[in-house]
Amino acid sequence: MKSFNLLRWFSLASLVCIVLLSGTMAMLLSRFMTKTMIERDAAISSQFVESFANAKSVSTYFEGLQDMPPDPALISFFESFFEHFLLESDVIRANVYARDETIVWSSTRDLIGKRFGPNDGLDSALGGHVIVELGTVGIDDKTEHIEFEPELKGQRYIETYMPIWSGDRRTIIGVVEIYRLTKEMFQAIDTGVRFIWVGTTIGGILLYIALFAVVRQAGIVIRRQEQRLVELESMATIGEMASAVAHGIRNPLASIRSSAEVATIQNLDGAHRAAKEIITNVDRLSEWIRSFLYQAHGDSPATAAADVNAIAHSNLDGLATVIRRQNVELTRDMQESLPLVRVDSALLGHALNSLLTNALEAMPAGGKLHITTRMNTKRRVVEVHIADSGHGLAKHLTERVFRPFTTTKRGGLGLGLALSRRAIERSGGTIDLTSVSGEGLVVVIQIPTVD
Amino acid sequence: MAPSVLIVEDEAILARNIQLYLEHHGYEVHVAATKEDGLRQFKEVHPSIVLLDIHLPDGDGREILRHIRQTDANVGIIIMTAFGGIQLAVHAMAAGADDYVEKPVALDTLKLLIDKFIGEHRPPAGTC
Repeated sequence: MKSFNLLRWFSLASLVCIVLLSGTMAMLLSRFMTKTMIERDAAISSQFVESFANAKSVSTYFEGLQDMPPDPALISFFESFFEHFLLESDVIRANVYARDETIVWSSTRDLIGKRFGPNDGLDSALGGHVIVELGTVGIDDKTEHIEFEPELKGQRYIETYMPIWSGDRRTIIGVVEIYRLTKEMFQAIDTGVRFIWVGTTIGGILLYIALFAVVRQAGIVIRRQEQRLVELESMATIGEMASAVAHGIRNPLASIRSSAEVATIQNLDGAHRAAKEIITNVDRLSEWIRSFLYQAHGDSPATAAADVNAIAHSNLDGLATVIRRQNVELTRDMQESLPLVRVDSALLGHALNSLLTNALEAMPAGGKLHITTRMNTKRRVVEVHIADSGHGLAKHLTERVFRPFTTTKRGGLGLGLALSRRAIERSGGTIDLTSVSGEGLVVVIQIPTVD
Repeated sequence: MAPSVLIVEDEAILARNIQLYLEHHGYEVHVAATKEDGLRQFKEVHPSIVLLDIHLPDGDGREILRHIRQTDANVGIIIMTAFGGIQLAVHAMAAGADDYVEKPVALDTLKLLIDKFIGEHRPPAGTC
C-alpha cells in the first residue's frame, strides 16, 4: 500500500480551506462595512433634508402644484432650498419628485416636468423608506441619469431617495433624490476594504503557517514512532529468532550428546542404537539449518513439485495417535490423481503438519476434522481445505501463526507456517484462514500446478 | 528403596537416554512426553525428583512446576530447557524450581544435581 503523505494532503486541503474561508470572510466584512457606511451617510442626509424641509414648510409647494407647469416661484424656492446641498461639491444632481413621480424640480433643468418609467427606488421612497443605491457614472445609467457631465464618467456615486413628509407627518408629499460623489467616503470604504483583505490574508497566512508547522512536527513524530515500531518489531523478531535457534539447535544437540554419553558407557546396551540416533539428530539439525537459511535468504528451494495427497496422507498418518486419543472424527475427501503442485514438498509438509496440529489442538475433547483436496481447473490450482470444529482462532492469532520464528508445537521449527506461506505465495498460491469464533477454523490453500 | 525420577520431556531420544543412564545408576525412572501425561504420572508415582522441560507439545512445563509446588513442597524439580537466558532461570527458580540446566546437558551433571538434591533431602526420601 502506498503510504499516505500527511503533510502534502494537509497542506493542500488546509490551503484550499483557508483561502476559501478568508476570501468569504473578507468579502462579507467588506460588504457589511460598505452597506453600513452608506446607509449611515444616507440617514444623515435624509435627516438633514427633512429638518430643512420642516423648517421651510415646503409642504405648501408640493400640495396642489403637481399638475402645473414649472412655476418660477417653485424653481426659485427649490434652488434656495438646495443651495445648501449644491454648495457641497460632491452633489452632482438633485431631483425633487411629486407624489405622481413627476420631477418638479431638478438641478438639471431639462429634467423638470419629466416623468420616467418604473423606478423601484422612487416607489420605495414614496412608501416612506430612505433608499440608497450605488452606481458609477456611464455604467449604471438609468433614464433619469442622462446628461451627467462627461468628465464625471467612471466616478462612483451614491444615489439617495429621501421621502418628504407632510407637516402633520401623516403622508408623504414628495421625494428628494440626490446623487453624491462622496469621494472621501469611497476612499474610506476602499481603505477599509483594503484593511479587511490585508488583515484576512495575513491572518490566513499565519494560520496556514502555524497549522503547517504543527502538522509537519506531528509528521516527524509519527515517522519517528514508525521507525521505533519497526525497530521494536525487528528486536522482537530477533528475540523470537534467537529462541527458535536455541530451540532448534539445542534439542537435537541434547539428544546427540546424551546418545554419545550412553554409547560411551561400556556395560550399557544400546551403543549401536545411540550411534543411529546421533546420525538422525545430525540430519535433523542440518535440515533445520537448511530451512533457517532458506528463511533468512529467501532462496528458492531446488525441488518444487509436491504431491498434495501423498503429503496430506502422510501427515494424517503421523497424527493418527493424537486423532484417536482425542476422539476426533476424521474425514478425507481427496480427489484422485491430482497434478503435482509448484511448491517444495518439505515446506508443504511442514505447513500441513502445523495446520493439522493447530486444528487438533483446537479440539482437545473431540470434534470433526475434514480434509478436502481438489483440482480447480478454472484457476489451474490445487485446493486444500482443512476444516475443524474446534474453538477457532482469535483474529489476532490468525496473523500471528504466519509470523516467522513463532515457535509452533511438537517438533516445530517456529518457521513452518511462515516458510510455507512464503513458498506458497511465491509460487503464485494463497493461504487463507477463516475463523468463526466457537465454530472452528477453515484453512484454504491454493497452489498452482506444476505445468 | 531406589529414588524415583520423573522425566517430563518431549525430546524422545534425550528422555530415553536420561532414563537409560539413571536406571544404570540405580534410579527408578518414569518418562512422560506431554504436560498432561506428566501431571498424571506425578500423581501416580510420587517421584522424589522431576526433570522438567519447559517447551511441551501441549503447554508450558512451568504450569506443571506451579501445580506441583501447590501440592508438594518437598519434591525436587530441575528445569531443563533449550531456551537459554538468565531471565528464564530466575523465573523458574522464583516459581519454585530447585535447579535449572540448559540443553544440551551432560548426563553426569544431571545425575550430580539429582544426587545432591537427594543427599540434602534424605529424611523425606521414600516417604513420598
